[in-house]
Amino acid sequence: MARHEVNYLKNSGIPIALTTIDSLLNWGRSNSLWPLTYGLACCAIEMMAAGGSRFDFDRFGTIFRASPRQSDVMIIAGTVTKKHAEFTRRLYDQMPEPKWVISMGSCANTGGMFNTYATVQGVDRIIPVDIYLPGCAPRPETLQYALMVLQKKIRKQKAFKKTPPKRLV
Amino acid sequence: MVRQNKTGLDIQKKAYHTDKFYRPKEIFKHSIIGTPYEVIFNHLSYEHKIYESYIELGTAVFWIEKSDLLPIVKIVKSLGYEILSEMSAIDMLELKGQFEMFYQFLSTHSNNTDKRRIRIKCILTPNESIESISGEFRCALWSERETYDMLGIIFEHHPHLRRILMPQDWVGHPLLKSYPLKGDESASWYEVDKIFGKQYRSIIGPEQRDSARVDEKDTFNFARIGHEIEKGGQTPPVLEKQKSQKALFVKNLDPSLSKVLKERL
Ligand code: SF4
Repeated sequence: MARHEVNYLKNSGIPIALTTIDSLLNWGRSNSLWPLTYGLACCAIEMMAAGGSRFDFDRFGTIFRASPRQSDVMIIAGTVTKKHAEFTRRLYDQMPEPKWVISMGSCANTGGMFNTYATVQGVDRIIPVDIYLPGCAPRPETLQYALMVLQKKIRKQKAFKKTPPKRLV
Repeated sequence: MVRQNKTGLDIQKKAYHTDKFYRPKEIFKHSIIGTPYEVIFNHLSYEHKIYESYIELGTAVFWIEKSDLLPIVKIVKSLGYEILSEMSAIDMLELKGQFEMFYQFLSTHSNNTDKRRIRIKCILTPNESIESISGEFRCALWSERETYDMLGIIFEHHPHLRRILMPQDWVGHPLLKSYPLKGDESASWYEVDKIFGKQYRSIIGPEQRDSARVDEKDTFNFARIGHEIEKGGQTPPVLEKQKSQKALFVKNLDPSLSKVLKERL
C-alpha cells in the first residue's frame, strides 16, 4: 500500500475551514436536492430532458427519485386533474421534512389553458409551492434556473429553525 | 377540417366561422335499396322493426327499437361485423328530449369488402336504461362505462358499471350539454372538500379562473372595456351616461325592451 503523505504546512497551511453548522447543513441540502419524479403531462417531457445528459441535472446533485420517502423536492410538471389531486397531496405528505415544491408550467401554476371542470386551477390549492416556474412548457434551462433559485433560497434559511407550517395559496 | 391552402388567400386572417346561427349542411343520404347493404337490411328487418335506414358517407345506418338492440347486435356479429369500433350516446335532450345511442361496427371479412361499416342507432329517453352489449363485444365494457360516466346512461347487465374517467365520488355527468364547462359547485370545490374537508373552503377560497380573458361574445363585460373602474367602485351606468348627452335623432337603447334571439327570424 502506498503511503499517502501530504505536507499541509508546505501547501496552504492547516486543513481546517471554519464555517457554521447552518451553512454546512444548507450546503448539504441544497447540493443534493432529490426531486420526486412527478411528471403529469407535457411539461414532464421537459423535466425528463433536464434530467438527461444534455442538460444534466446530476451535476447539481439532483437525482430523480421514484419514491417520496427519499426525496426532498417535488417538481409538479404538468396538468393536475381533480381526480389526481388527492394522490398529489398524499405523496407530498409522505415526503420527509424539510421539503420544497416547484410548480412547473402554467398548468401547475394556474390551471393554464384548461379552464375546465376537471383541472385543478393551480396546484397551490392543495400543496404549498415554493417556486413557480412560468411557461408552457418551460425549457429545461428554465427548470435548471428554478432549481438554482431554490438552492439559493435554501442556503439563506436557518437550518435548525422550526419552520412554521407553510401557508396554502 | 383542414382548410385549403391557396396562394393569395389569407386564410389566417379569416375567422373560422362567425355566424352565430351557423348550421352545418346536412350530409346527403342515399337509399339503401340497390346497394350491397340491402342484404344486411333484409337480414335485420326479417324479424325486427327497422324504423329508418339510409347510407351516409358510405356507412349504412339503421334506426332500431331499443329493446331489439341485443338480438340485432347478435345478427350483426354473425354477419361478419366483428369489430365494435365505437359506441356512445349523443345528448339531444335540449333539441328532442332524448339521447341517441349509436354503435359503429366494422367488418374485415372478405365477403364484406363493399359493405365495411354499419351503424346501429336507437333512441333512449332519459331515466331509461339500455341493455349492455358487452357480452357480445367485450370492448363495450369500457365504452359503456365511459358512456355511463359522461352521460349518466345505465346499462343493464353490465358486470361492473362504474365511472372510468371521473373520480368515483364525482357529482354529475360532464358530457351532458347542460353541464357547465367550468363545472358546477361541487366540481369547483372537489379537491378541497376531498383533501381538507368542507370547512377549509373559506381558507382556500374559490378557484381563480383566468380573469384577464376577454370573451368577445360576452357583450356585457366586453362593453366595459375602456370603462374600467377602481376595485370596489360603483359601475357607472353606461346607458345613463349616454342619455345625458343624447344626440339628435339617436334613440336610446332600453335594455329591458331588447330581445335575445334563440334563432334567426
Ligand atoms: S403548462 Fe403547457 S406544456 Fe406544461 S403541462 Fe400544461 S399544457 Fe403541457
